[in-house]
Amino acid sequence: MKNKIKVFRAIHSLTQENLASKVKASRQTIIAIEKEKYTPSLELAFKIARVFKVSLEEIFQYDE
Amino acid sequence: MKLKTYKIIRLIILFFVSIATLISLNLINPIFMISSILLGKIILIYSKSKLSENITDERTVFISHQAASITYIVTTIVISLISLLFIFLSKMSTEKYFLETLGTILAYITCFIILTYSVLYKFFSKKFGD
Repeated sequence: MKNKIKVFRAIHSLTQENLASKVKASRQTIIAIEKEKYTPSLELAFKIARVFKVSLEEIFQYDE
Repeated sequence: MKLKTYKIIRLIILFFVSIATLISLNLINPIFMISSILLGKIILIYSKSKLSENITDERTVFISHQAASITYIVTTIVISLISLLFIFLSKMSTEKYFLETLGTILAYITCFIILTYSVLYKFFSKKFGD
């Protein structure tokens, strides 16, 4: 699963720590998601999308 | 409290609890050991509650699930192999009954672990939809 979290973070001037505290996750989790080493749950993905006020598909792209 | 401070506190507590456990083992004083472990745990829980950032979330839960499932597989295979080894060795050894008993106990422990896993698997699969 590809994602554009890093891009959206830069647009919203958010650090990994800021985003982590907004979605109630650890900074390590945000790092792992950005590096595409960990696929977030649907709940966490929705929380991240809500922080950036965009739809889920705009941040996460599922490639088979 | 920052994560770095918490990690330092955790390290200090670990150090002191280890020393306290060693001293209490030397003095054969279980009360001192239990109270030092409890005190360390209370301080850890308190300092964790004062943390400004999350350190446990769904990724840590996922990691612990992965580790637990691999531990289950490795443990059951290793214990069952050791129990088989003991039972086979008992046929050739002079310490026949000791090895056979040990092998049988280990085999029962393996059965108990597998049974517990199966029961809990069934329970959680029912709970989450089956």
